[in-house]
Amino acid sequence: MPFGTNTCVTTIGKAIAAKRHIGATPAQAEPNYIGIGTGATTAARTAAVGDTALSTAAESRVAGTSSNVTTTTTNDTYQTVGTITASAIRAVDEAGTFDAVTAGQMDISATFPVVNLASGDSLQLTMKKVFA
Amino acid sequence: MSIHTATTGVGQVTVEAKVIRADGRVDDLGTIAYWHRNPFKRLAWRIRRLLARTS
Repeated sequence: MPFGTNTCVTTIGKAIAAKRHIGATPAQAEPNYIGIGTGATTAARTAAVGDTALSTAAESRVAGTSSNVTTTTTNDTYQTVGTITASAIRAVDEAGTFDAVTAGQMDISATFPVVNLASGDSLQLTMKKVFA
Repeated sequence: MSIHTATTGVGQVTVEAKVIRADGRVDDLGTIAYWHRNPFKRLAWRIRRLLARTS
């Protein structure tokens, strides 16, 4: 599949959401870590439900600030917001949310047209998942 | 009486982006990736994005 703009909840992400229902303190960690990457275009990858990782991760993941917000009905949306600062010139074309700061499982996968960052620029991403 | 179970799943996923330049300028890129369960809504978003780019 050629590169394309898309975002989705991965198959693993569905399991993450289901597992978060279990227990007062779920064993499943919250998927609030945001990562960016630069390899989707080169890899000719469009975000798909089978994704498990970014093509070429760049920078360290950040722990996003998560909350429930309203899209259609009260609190129907899981939102996480994080800001990642580029340590070098970056052509960012992919992002994802994960349940750990390194490795872990991918919840949301996204590919999009290149966002060019110079060293020192920051990219603030707001990832929203609406249950409806 | 009918048996009915409400289904709830992920209906929409969006990624919004803002670039905060090193000099403090902010470029709000808006929604850079979008998915909706309804394919017509996905198509509408792609058309709106295309029009925004060409205008």
